[in-house]
Amino acid sequence: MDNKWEMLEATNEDREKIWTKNRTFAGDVWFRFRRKPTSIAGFIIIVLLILFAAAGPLFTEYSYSNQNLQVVNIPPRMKVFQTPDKDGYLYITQGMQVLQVNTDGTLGSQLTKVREESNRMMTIFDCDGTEVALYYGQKPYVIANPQKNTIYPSTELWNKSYLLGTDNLGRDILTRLMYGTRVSLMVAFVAVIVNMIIGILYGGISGYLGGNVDAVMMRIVDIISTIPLTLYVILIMVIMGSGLQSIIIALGTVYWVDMARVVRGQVLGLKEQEFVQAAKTIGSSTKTILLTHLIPNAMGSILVTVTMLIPSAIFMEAFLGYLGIGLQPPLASLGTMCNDATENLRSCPHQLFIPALVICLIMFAFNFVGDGLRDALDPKLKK
Amino acid sequence: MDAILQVDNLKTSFMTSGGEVQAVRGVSFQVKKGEILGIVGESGSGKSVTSMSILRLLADTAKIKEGAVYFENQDLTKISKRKIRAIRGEKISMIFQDPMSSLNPLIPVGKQVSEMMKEHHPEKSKEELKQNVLELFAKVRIPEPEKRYRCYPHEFSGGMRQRVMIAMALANHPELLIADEPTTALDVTIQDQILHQLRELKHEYGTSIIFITHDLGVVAELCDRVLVMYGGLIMEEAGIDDIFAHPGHPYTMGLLASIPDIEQDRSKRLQPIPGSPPDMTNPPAGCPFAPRCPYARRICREELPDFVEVGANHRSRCHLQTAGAPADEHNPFAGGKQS
Amino acid sequence: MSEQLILEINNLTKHFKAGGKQTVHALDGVSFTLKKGETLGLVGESGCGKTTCARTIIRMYEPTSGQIIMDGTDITELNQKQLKPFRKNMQMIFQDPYASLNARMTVRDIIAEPLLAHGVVKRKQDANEYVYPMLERVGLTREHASRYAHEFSGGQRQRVGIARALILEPNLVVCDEPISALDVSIQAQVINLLKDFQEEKGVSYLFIAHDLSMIRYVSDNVGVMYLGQLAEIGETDEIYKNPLHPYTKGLLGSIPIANPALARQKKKSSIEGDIPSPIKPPAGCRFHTRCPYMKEICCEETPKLKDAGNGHMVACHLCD
Repeated sequence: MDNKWEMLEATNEDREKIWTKNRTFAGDVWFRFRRKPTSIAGFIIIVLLILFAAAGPLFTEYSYSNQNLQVVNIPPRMKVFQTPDKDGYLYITQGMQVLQVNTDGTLGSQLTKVREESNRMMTIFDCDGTEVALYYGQKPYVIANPQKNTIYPSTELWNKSYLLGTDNLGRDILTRLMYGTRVSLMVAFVAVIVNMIIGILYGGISGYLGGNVDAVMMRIVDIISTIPLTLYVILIMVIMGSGLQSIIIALGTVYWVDMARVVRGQVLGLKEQEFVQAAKTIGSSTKTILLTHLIPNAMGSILVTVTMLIPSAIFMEAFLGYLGIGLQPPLASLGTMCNDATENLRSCPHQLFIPALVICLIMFAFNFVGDGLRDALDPKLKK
Repeated sequence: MDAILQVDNLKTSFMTSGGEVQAVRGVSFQVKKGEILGIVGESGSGKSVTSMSILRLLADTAKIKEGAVYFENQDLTKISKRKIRAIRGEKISMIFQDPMSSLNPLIPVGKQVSEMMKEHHPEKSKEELKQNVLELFAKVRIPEPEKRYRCYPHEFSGGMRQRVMIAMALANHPELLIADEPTTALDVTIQDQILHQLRELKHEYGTSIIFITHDLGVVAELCDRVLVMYGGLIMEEAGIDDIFAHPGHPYTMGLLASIPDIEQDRSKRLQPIPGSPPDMTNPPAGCPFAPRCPYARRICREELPDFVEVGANHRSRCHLQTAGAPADEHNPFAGGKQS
Repeated sequence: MSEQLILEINNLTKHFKAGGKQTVHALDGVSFTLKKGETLGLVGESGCGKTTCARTIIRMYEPTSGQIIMDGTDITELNQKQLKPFRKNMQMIFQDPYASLNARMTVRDIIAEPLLAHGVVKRKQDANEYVYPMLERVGLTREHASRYAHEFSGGQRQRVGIARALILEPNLVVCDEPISALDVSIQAQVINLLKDFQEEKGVSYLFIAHDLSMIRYVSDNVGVMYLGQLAEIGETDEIYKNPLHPYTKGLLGSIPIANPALARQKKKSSIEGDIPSPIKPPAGCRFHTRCPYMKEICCEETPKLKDAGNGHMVACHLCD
């Protein structure tokens, strides 16, 4: 008999084999999520920001609170004048002092003041034995040779000591930015986790029990949601005083309303599904039904709501910080940094722009990720 | 009889997150004038996708990769969207399993049917159209057509809605009606009424019907010719009497053995087909039925069999039907080719 | 087989409130009994109340009135907590194998759920010794245990559902259209599985379906329901060979026969029209609006279930 006509012994394993790869729900979502460039970009930005906030302070020699009044309001790009011996540069600070700047862009020590020649509108400093003059007769101020009345050649240099410059108390903006991002992200995450727990439990119970319980619980939610959230948060902050804990508590008790609504809606739909009915006929307890059947299946919408809540929590924190009722100095948050910067907005706009840019980045990133998640979790796209 | 529709080597795929699902993998058949052609198959066999491909009603993720559908000397897969729209409902119409999703819930059914007519016969007056719709309603046995004309879809029962769909499909006396599991969601009593109706309409207008179903009983009652589909391919094609009396493919045999006869002896076990249908993202290389086939040989796993003529107008895609197949005790077709 | 009654239903009624003051008469005074190791099939069109009947018996719905007696105990009035020990003995198989399994759970967890709920095993890890044999019993393998339900085909899912319902070895399993969502070739797998279990463990089934030929094959007794009431109930062969109620006759006449020669011979005795709304069921015999033999009395007086011999009960004035 020809070999090709050999009988095949088909085993049961063979027939029942599942051909698809063993892909969990999370794997499935990730597959669809990564196909959208904007959501991947958002995801990468979030990872980078978290790294920046968490690991960044390890690489900086400054602390967020150390003030150095010698180096106040120095920008990232400095206008500098050559020293007389041409082996370095000089920078005029806002406090009418002169700083030595090395050729590589790092900052040196302050020059000692020799005398004031107010009739010539000059302050004479001692630079390695040579006298240099800070001429303040007209703006912009310049460094000049007091003997020959010539201005030293000027150039622009990147600030290597303080990459993003310093603020009005001489603190490194980059370091403060790391701590600020850390605080903002932490506030957001903690607030959102608190929201999630309250919202899921509240919405889950309301949706699962239904009937009058649901009606009463949802009216409470309606009442809470009619109070403007900002006003409510400010009231809590005023009563509890400023500080990190109060911000977290204030934000944590506000956003759960949305979460509760989302969870309730999901649970209302899910509890009529057959697998939940099946769990009931099996005799599973309410706790099991809620925790293993209802909430895991509502997790998709919960995740999307969370990623959308994070940027608004961050924004709210920044907003409170900007109003001055957020963190207490010297703690930095993105909002308080913006607030501090408004004083010098004309002379040092970068102090405002940099933290504002980070806020924007965070908002964009989380919104993109939330968007991508929603698409990835949309059951309509499922095949 | 002439063929009014000819499908040649049709291949349709869906793009999904899990990869390309090859729903239809090369299907060729003809529909003759005035016949009822049954397409039988399990879910995932490609029977619905085949019918949707004919009228290009597929979702955006689907693509006709190859093949042609000839109707009135034009290839429906190639003509413009405008032209295919003109054919839909006018020359070829379709009814679906779920009539609710094909009816607009906000418009009274009578109006929906008359608008459908108007699109293809703009010359008719409003009164004329209404008269035609009422006649149609009476024809498909919708009681009190005058009253029903102004009702909304949700006021109808499932069977009534399906009648409206049939009325709508027949509004322009199409040459071909494609019915995709029109009775699956209905009760047996209603199913019986609808089948009766389809038979009458065929006799009256000579409309050809492609009837897609998974129910062999319905096929036996209604169809003239049957295609059995499995794994995106036609496995067997035969006249209605042939397929029940001399099934020419192990899959068809399995299908027939797994339904209880109304006269079935209760002590006798049913003979199910073991296993599950193949996953069409990764179709088997050989015969798609081989993993579940009790007669499978090595060649069945390796090579896709071609059609073998096993009788008059009866072809089957099975290696065991070929001339070279050994006539041993494991060959159900041994002992001479039947008919 | 012993004559022990597993289930006795007396005059079971379930009315739902529809918007406003309307009431849906989903189930109106249904009574039957089910013996150990036997199968009672319930057939009827959609909207006839067969699913409501199943769900009321399993106490997913609260009965409006009537009695449900399980193993000699009246469970009608028990609350969900008191009901829990009885749940171990009555399980349900659902129609839709896609909706009735939690997509976020592995097959192991799904099958282990009843074990955990009734404290048969204390921890998930201990469930394997029950789950693996059960999986093999329903024709799946151990490798399937760690898969998620959504990766399975419909037939495989339904077998997982059966494994879940049978793992506690209940006395009564309510099968609510367990095969109607499955492909033809798969239906027989499920039916054979259910029959094998019955022979081995003596399970009783309340089997609900609209497929009359399947019902005939699986059931010892058949009840035909129409608009929330039993039209006819009796031994399967008796009902199919000698249907007395005009509705049963019509229903049997509507079954498509998978035999073209017979199908052509078949004389048409199908029922015209649609099932009326259960919100306002017709007075008298509820079938009179569609009955070809309708008499005056049918519109006025509700016929009672009467024995027509051999335990064949029928509710029709014409059979008096």
